[in-house]
Amino acid sequence: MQSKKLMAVASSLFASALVLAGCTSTASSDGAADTSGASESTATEATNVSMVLWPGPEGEAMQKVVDSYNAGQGVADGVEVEQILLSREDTFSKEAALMKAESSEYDIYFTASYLIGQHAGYLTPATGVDASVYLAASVESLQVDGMQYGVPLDTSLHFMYYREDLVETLSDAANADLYSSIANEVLGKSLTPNADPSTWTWEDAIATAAFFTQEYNPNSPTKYGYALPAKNLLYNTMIWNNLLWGLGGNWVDSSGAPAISSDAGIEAIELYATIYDKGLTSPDSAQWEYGETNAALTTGNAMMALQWNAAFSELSTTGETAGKLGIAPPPGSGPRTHVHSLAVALNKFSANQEAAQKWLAFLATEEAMAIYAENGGVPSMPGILTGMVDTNASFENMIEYANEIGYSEPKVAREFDIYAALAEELSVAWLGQESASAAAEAADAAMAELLE
Amino acid sequence: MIPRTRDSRIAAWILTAPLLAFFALMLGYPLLVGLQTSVSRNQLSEPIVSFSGLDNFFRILTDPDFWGSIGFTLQFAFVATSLQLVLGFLLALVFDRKIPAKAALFSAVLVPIMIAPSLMAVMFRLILNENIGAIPAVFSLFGAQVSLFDPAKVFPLLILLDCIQFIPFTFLLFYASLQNISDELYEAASIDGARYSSTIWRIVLPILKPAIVVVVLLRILESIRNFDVIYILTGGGPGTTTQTVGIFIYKTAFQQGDFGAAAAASVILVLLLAPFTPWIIKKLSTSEKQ
Amino acid sequence: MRFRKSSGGAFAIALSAAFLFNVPLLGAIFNSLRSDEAIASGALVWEFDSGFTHFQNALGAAGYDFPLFFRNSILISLGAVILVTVLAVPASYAVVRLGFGGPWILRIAVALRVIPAIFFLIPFYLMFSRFGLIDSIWVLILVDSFINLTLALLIFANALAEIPLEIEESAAIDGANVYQRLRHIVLPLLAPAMVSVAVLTFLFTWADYIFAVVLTASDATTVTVGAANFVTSYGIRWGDISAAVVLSIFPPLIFALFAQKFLVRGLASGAVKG
Repeated sequence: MQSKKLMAVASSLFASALVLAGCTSTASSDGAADTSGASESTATEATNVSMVLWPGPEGEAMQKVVDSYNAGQGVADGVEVEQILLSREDTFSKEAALMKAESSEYDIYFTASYLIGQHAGYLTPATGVDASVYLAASVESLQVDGMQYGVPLDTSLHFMYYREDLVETLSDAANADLYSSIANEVLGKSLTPNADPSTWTWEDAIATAAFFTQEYNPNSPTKYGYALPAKNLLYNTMIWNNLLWGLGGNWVDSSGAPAISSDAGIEAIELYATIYDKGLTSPDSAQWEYGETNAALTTGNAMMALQWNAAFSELSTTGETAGKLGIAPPPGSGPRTHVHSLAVALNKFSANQEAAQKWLAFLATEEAMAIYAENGGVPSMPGILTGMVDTNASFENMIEYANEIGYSEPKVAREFDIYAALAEELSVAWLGQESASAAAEAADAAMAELLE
Repeated sequence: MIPRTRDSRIAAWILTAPLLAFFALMLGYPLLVGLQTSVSRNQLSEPIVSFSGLDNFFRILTDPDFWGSIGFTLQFAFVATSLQLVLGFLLALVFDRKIPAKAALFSAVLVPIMIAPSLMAVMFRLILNENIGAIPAVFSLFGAQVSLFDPAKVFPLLILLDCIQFIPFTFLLFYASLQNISDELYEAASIDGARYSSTIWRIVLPILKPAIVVVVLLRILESIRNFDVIYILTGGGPGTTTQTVGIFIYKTAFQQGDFGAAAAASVILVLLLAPFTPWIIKKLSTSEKQ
Repeated sequence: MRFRKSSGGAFAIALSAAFLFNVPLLGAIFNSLRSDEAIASGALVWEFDSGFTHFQNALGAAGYDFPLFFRNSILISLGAVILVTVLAVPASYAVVRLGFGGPWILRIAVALRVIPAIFFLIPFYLMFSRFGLIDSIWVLILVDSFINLTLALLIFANALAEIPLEIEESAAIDGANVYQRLRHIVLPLLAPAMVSVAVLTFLFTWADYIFAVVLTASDATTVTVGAANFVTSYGIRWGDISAAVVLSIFPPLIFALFAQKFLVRGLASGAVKG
């Protein structure tokens, strides 16, 4: 009878499952140590150090560094490193759970400047980091209370990307009148075209975007001028911060009180609202972030965007932006590009503190980072970056902007939460669907709670 | 009613023992830890955990975003469940006939359940994208410009996507139930001269009532826990306008790093729904006694 | 049998429904076959990637061990199906037919579904790491079974309610005890429900993301978690992730087709049609 067979099969499977459970849990813990792919002979002596990293280019490049270390310096140090790749979207959530559980499963955590304030309580500062080989902004952004918790890896900042071929046409005298009347329509004042984005004010940028929006200029080759990542997402707050800083604002004023309601803050919100409300960007951009912004540019449906530097590799080689991509600093004056670094840091509850520190000390050298760079990583070391300008022209801009106009947000414990809170409180006002002052006040209230 | 003998009572224990043991293991400990967390000050930014009484509960209960997310969730669950109920049932009726390539079509309809919601959401993000997505492209071939993520249209869009993902589920449950209705019943009805629609309304639906209750229950509860698609597509935004309770709790735990408050919110959610469950169980048991 | 005869209208509706529900999959197939350049240039660019690179990447060429991920997902899903069936069938019989525990079992089952997954994540993590089960397929089998138990209990309870008592009563009078009644009479009648539960449990387990993410690291990674690796800092690898979606359909699809056949066989053995 069928049911009899089913029962028999099911119970025997279940029974064998229970038996195997006993075996596999021991087997997997042995198996794990061998997957680093390097020296097996030193297994008895070498201390195994496990490190969490992001999958993708960072993880791929780092694997090469790990392999090289395990075969070389690692032998001398008596350390064998194993890299674990967790899912990119949830690496930080997962680490949060692990840290809360005071886990010693991983010796080295993946972290970032915007999380270091939150993580510091669960980390041991890294000894052996020579700050002078790094971009100042990068290494400082990983310090809390003067202690160096993170070892910098890739640095991220923002560029104003634009279509060179289109911006060039602004210097054509024939366009001046149309430009001026469009600027009047959108901003309420007549402006003359400025074909040098590195000198743009936000008004110049917006006027240019309007000039290349078909609603205002039917002859525009691009449907919209701007690609605005306006999704309620903490990474989009990092981009918006550039407007705030570029107008002379900050999260907090000199006394440490929240300052989104300052003139700069309100203006920064209203600039976004102008872009969205006046139709300079697609209505869909209310849900856009990194990937969608790139798609708008590569399909030729937008010609300008404030976007992450990492987008350079995709934008400069794909679609309508290939070969026509210009880079400029975010408009404004003074420090105006957010800088953060990805990093690795030592777990306070790790059982292998000494071994991990040795690995981290190696990682903090130009030798290690050269391997990282050769394999696709973007280390925060000017020495290496300058040498790589041929592979990636944007590195020059990166060094310049990081040194001259880079800023980091205040390294408070709940910095990460503040980005998220600002995105939540401001994203409706960014679309012009709530008053800027009301949103700014709500944002200040939310921030005040997070600063206590 | 089957006589309850001592044998049958022992048998009942033996049959249920594995389940009870499983529940004890999987439910007992998490419940304790979860409750303990809900009354503690447990935040990622503070390594020390301390008892905080009802502070977390107070914080959540006075948070307008919490209630806003509940309101949105109820709205969403109600609309989505109603649509999925009706359309799933109608589709099951359609499939309850002889149609060519039935097995293939049947499996085809089940495909959305086979795609993980998180991956489904990424696919939606791609094909609905104004610039590189196939749907707007197809519309543009007909000269129509569609903007699918316009804040005004986000709610219908999310409902549509939820339906695509879950009507196959309600359809499957109804279809399975329909299989238990013998052909004689239909024959008898048609001999009596009943039209199709009244046969369905007066005879089939009442028989299916327990199944309907199960479906409604499961879909509403699942909608309340809805997370992946909305989170990936809108992040609960703009602002908090599409924030479900699931997203609220997730953000509380992993963006604000406040595990204590997140646990408290979960407890509050259960308490809010608790009064309704006896009623639902009753509905289930009364239909049994037919 | 007027009402169940075939109809052209029914076929048309079924076909349209099948098409509509497959739009995401068709989109995935379409994008998995195009080059990255084509994808970034717009949906109407029909430039295809003859090397099937996206599929190669989704099968391990990009450095992610997808064959392992597939193996894990399949084992976990099958395991959950077995465990759920073994736990739920006897228990729901005891509750519905033998009146065990009154409404409490079902109440707990319903309450389970109400609690958000987040509530269980960290306690599960703590509990299983103590037993060294983290990053093993067994813990996911346990957890996914737990998640799908409510569904199974409700479906079985409902199905049992639809089976007439008389059949069992007469068997009882004939001297059959509980186990015999359960095995010989009820189980065959429960076949369609068991298939539904098996298919749904497999599918929902296959599709789980959040528990897999927290409770696995590298050994027990599932396909859904593995596919998320294609979202990187330098862009979303749309083509690769589309290919992963396409490939991820096959195991559940095969399982569902197989289960459907079993359903037909179960029906034909005289179980339902009186």
